[in-house]
Amino acid sequence: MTDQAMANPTSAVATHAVRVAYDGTEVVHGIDLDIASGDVVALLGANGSGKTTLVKALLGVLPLTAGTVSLLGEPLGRTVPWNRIGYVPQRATAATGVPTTPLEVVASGLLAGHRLRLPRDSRARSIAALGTVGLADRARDNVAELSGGQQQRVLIARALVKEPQLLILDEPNTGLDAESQDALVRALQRDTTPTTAHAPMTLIMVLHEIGPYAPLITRSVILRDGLVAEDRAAAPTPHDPAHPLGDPHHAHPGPIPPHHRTPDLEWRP
Amino acid sequence: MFTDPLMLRALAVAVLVGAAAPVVGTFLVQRRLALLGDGIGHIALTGVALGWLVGSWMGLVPRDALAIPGAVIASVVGATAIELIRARGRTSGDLALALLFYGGIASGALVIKIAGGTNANLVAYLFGSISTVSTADVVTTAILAGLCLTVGLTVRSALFAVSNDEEVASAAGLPVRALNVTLAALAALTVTTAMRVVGLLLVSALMIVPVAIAQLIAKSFAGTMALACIVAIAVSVMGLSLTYWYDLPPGATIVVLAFIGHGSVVAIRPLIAARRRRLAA
Repeated sequence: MTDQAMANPTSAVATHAVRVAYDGTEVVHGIDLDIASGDVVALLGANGSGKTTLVKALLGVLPLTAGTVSLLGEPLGRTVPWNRIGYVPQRATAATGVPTTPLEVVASGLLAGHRLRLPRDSRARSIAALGTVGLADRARDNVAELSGGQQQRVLIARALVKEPQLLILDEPNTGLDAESQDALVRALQRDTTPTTAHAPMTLIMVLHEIGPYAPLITRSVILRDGLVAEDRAAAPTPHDPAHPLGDPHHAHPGPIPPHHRTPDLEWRP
Repeated sequence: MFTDPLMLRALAVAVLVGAAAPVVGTFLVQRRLALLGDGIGHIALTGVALGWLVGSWMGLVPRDALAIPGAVIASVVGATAIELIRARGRTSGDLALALLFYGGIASGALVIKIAGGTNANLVAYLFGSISTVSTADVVTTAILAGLCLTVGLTVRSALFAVSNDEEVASAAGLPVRALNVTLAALAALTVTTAMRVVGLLLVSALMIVPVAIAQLIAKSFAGTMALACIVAIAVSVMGLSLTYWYDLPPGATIVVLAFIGHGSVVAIRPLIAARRRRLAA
């Protein structure tokens, strides 16, 4: 197979000529992307540029009308290692019609692919993931009683519980206060830093503005009208007239030196 | 009353149905599809009539021997169809349900007439006929209820994941469509199982009202489901027992008891909440 999407086996995500329709209207008009393992990609663009549609198509939530996608080296389908892929949708609430605990929501993140039953250590792993987002003490409350930001953190914990190799966040700022955002940045920084113990996580973030994520980002892909308008290393810099999406309110602080990195996440003061 | 074999059979059926109905009901409430059971109940009526029609063609005695198999087949086919229509997104959920309600009732009344019966023959199915259960009925109910409980509890985590967040379940590579169809088929089996106890018009009440009561008290999904099963068994047994001494319709009595239970919990809930706050402080 000479398919471009299959060309590089070390790609975390590879797409070739991907087209996606939403409610019968084509929104994504042919996108080629090759995201290397360990990359931290900011997916930027105005409202309606196709960011969320593209991300949903990458994960198989929306069907492709044309093109191919491969995730972690496998073509989209049953052979993808789904237990290594985390996804946080753009969503305001984690509540449904029935009372549910954060523990139950997070544990459901351990089901993937052919695994339809929870592993034996699901409880311990879910509590650990809730600890990562600072909600271990709320594990057995009703999730509907948590604040919007806390519910968003439960959804992030549901993606982190499987210790993903590829993590996709759609507008992670929804409902997060500045402090929670900074703590999320630190947690993501830790997971995307290569260590001897594990390969770095590949991270794709749909963002409206770069904000506090600037130091993490190794690549920016800017969509316009369902096509890649720009694709460049690192975050768009502020005051750059070519990049109106660069956020002028946050000066680019550059990478945080290793000795300044916080080893463990603190969500609370 | 515990020496009356008829009453014992009826109680056995009531306990089985009470245990099974809220398991599926909890998932339906979670998905905000609380009325799905009603839609399926209406299709099941067409199934009852079709079973009757086939039974009378074959000259079976009694003529409604195939009513329950007919209801099972029609409701499973109908529930699967609703799910597939919903997944395609062509028809909104409430419109699809409305079509089922009217199509089911009208076809049922039409087919029963063609089969040589009258609408009166359908009344036993519409309002339940638990006081006339045979040993064979108990066996059928036990098999259906056992099937619902086994499947519902075996894939509970996966059904939870899909009902909790279908998009994320799909992005995790879970077999979302197969799980949705499984849930729809389980709902259909539950409806036909509970049909004998409370009747098709009230079948959904036994699936949904105990969940409505339990979610007022429980904090977790597992707790809601367990409590709803206990409530459903309790009101089924209590309602049936009342009909042993008083001349009351069993299905309606059971459902009214459940409603009284719901009202009572709503009334005393502020007291429970205040007590919890005091204990927490």
